[in-house]
Amino acid sequence: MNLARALKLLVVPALVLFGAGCGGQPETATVSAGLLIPRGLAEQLSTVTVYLFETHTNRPRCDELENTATFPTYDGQEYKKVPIIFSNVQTAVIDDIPDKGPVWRFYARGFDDTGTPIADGCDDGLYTIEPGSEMQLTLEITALQ
Amino acid sequence: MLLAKVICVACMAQSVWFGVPVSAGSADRVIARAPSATGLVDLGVRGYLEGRYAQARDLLVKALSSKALDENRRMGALYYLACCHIALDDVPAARRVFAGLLKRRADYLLPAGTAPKIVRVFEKVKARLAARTSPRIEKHPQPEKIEPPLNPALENPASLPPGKKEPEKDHGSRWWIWALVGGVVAGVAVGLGVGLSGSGSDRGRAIINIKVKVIE
Repeated sequence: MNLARALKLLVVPALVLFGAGCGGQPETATVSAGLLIPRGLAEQLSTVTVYLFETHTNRPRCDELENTATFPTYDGQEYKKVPIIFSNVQTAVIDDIPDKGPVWRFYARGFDDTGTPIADGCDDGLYTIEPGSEMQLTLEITALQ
Repeated sequence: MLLAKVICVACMAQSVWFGVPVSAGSADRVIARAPSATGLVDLGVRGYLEGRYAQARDLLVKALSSKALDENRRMGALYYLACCHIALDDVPAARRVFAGLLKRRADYLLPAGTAPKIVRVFEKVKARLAARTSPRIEKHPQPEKIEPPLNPALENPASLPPGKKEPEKDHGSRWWIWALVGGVVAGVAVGLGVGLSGSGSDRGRAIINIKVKVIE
């Protein structure tokens, strides 16, 4: 084996590495969620918790989440949730989300100063996150019935 | 009588050790009385230098027949013997002597000031011996094209039946190349394995940015 052959053997793994670096690592998928809160309701809210549910056969549905009687059944089964404290920040980030496979449903629940839920909002749509994709969704919060 | 013998011995000694020319008859007496082969060599050399080539040749041949002659004296005797042969126009004999000299010492160099005629004979003999001892290099016609083996078993060693192995090649001096290649390949395999397993698991890379918008 001469030097040229050895160099060829080195070039092949280098190309594999280059390809893996370029195409093997997908870009981070981002989801921009807009939380729409009427001003009158916002003045009463202290925190809003955004829930991310991984759905199975469309469960939990929005009507199940928005029903104060059935909500406790699903509370704690969310994949992730993040509170937004209005007095400090008006943004939040949920990271480390699987970008393929699961189907997601977004739900938000607002609380007053005493921790009593006074508002919520649910997106009827189901979302799948593709690797490298950018999505936008809107979650409108309304007062609990 | 005793005085006469003493004078005769003194004359002979003078002729041997001080270069006094000796006649053929006295030379015979010297040969007969030569104490050693070394003395014979000295007499032969002196005879050559004085132009008595045949006599010198005989003296040197007799000296060389002695096993007691040391190597340096023997080499000198051979040289002057060859010179005697050339002087006597017996070049073949001179060649044989030079050949014997060079077989004893292949790097033998002629003394400075050697006659060109002698040098030519010596160089020819030396060249001939060198040609005999050096390996013979023959040029073979290069094949026009090397055809690949038609036997698929030879192209694919994996298809060889058990027990038959591909001829081993000498890679001993290339071990560092193989080590380098092996290291790189192993690194690539580990990197790809870790990378692919990471991206293929449920732990994804998505980020959800939530922004509150107060609407009227």
